[in-house]
Amino acid sequence: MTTQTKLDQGLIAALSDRAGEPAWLRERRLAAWQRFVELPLPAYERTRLKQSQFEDFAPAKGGTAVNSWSELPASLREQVGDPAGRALVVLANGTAVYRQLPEGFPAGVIVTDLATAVREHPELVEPRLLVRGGQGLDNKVAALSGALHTGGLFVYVPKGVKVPVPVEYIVWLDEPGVAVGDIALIVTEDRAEVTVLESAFSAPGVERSARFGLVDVFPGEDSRVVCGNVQAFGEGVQSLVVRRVLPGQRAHVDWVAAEFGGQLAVNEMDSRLDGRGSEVRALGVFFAGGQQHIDLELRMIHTGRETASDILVRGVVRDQGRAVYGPYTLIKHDAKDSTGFQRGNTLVLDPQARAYSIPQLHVQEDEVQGAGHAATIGKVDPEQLFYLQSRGLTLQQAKRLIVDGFFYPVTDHIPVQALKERVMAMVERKMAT
Amino acid sequence: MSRPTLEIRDLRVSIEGKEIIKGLSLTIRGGEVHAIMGPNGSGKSTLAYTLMGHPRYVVEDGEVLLDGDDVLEMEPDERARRGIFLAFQYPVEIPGVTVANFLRTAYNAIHGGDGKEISVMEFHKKLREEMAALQIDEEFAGRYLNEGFSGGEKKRHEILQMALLRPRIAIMDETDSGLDIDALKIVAEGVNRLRSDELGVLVITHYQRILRYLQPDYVHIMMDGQIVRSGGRELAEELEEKGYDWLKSEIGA
Repeated sequence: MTTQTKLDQGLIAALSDRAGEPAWLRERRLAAWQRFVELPLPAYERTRLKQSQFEDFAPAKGGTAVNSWSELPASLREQVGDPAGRALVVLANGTAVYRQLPEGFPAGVIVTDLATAVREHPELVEPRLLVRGGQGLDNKVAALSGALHTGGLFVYVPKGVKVPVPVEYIVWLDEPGVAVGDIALIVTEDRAEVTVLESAFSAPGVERSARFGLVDVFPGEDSRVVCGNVQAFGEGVQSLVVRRVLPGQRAHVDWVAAEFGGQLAVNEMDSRLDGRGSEVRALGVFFAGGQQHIDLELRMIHTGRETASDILVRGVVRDQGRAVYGPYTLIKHDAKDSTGFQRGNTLVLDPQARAYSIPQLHVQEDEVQGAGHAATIGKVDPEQLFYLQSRGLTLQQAKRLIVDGFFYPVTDHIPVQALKERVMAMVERKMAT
Repeated sequence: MSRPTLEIRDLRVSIEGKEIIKGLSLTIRGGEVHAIMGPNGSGKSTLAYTLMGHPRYVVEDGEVLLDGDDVLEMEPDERARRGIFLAFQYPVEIPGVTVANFLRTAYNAIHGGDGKEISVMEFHKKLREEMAALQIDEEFAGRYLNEGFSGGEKKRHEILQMALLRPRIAIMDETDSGLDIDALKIVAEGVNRLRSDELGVLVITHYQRILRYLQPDYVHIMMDGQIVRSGGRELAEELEEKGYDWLKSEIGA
């Protein structure tokens, strides 16, 4: 079955022309389009994606690059907060519009938008962009992001360098009815350390727009990478993002996924633990209210020896919100002495809200260190509410406190203070509406 | 604050269609300590929960008035803000919520109206003082609400809340159960410290042990959903000595 969107091959080619990109990228972009057309719809168990969710969008006009922070739209600036001392790459409607690095940023570290990186650092970008360990694009969302991308992020950290401040990637939308694609490519050499925080949000009232995103992370040997995302789009926006990591030997990766926004949001995190002794920990927070549907898909594929993965997720559904927690751990043959654990809990606040938990754990190797999963879906205990109300808290305040406490085991483990605060502030904001 | 009056008039309460309290009247005024004693299943805890407004207990008939206002019309949180407090027999665990955070939220809910919220610093000073008085370790403030608390810690924590929230009518539901004698003394002293004309106390207990330290002004015996006898402190002693069976035969139950 093939898919036709309002975008067609001619339009993808035109995007390439407009970008003035090199032949190799144009080829990959068109190949990505071809993959997108060929691939079936993603088979998420409780998230039935429809053709229309890839089709009914016009291409975005894109944002306009600015030279200073103050020229950016006010509502964007407001949501990002004070930019002083921060490393920022800002995408508006799919195109890079602003970048800043703080004083004293380590030499040799590259933080720029993707188009600039393609021009200035092809030797670093070409071997990794839209190719992943020779596997290519095996996912329709990733393929469309590859075909449609008009901007993105590139981060490169040389051997042994520790980047002292988080690199922040801002994905912003204010055009209604459009689809935007973007790619973030994060590369660290051996023993490097970096934190990349992505924040996605939209201007108030933006409807029927979609983001198709691809994040590819290549941590070098013994490097430490934290990749966090806070998805806080408005409830008229669709967010389909695929995030992939291929850690080198003994690399340590922390994923933090926080999904709060969007009308439909799927965050698929795919970790391929191939490097011996590599470790990936995923923390997840989601909160679906109103008519939202949020799906957090976390895949840990162990192919290397002595690899370790851990998934810890907490989520809340309320109103008519729907949420899916779908962790998948596979320890393949020969991934000896590996460990894979999953824990997920969902709290259901209202009778019409729905939560689905679909944990999968497959162990093909006999000699593993440990593997296990635990998943629960529960309601707020009325005795807890009564206890708190008996101390003067309104029902709303009582629920808020219980929800804060419920998220605590995850928020407490978020390794970056700024991210932790942002996640907690989003929980607060969701509970206040 | 003025001297409170809580009037319970011919109260009838049922749970899931079964009548538990069968016509109970009692008036508690500021400065008074009332004790309700009774065997298991007599409806003591039902009375406590009903006064606080637990949704599972259905008031079939009767009135409860605080300074003349209809308490039964109020949600539990409004009752709390009006000064009714229940020290729970089984305090509820709330994971991930620290004692300090909970107490400050509760304090502000009751005393922080009209933007008069207490500052974090000021609150912690107050909290430390009250904790010291109840011989509660400071690290306690950082623990999760009632999670992993020993029986004694739970009860002391209930009294700590009472001390901070300064209720006008305090109902203590078997606060003495599960306490050793030292803990019992600390808890009783904590309550005695709070006694004033602005506080009326209703102590619900199975045993008269705690009453030695609390010295109630009135003792009521509850059986089968009714107060069957009222008297002074000596009634508790008599009951302790002779047992509930004596009373049953006395009243012909």
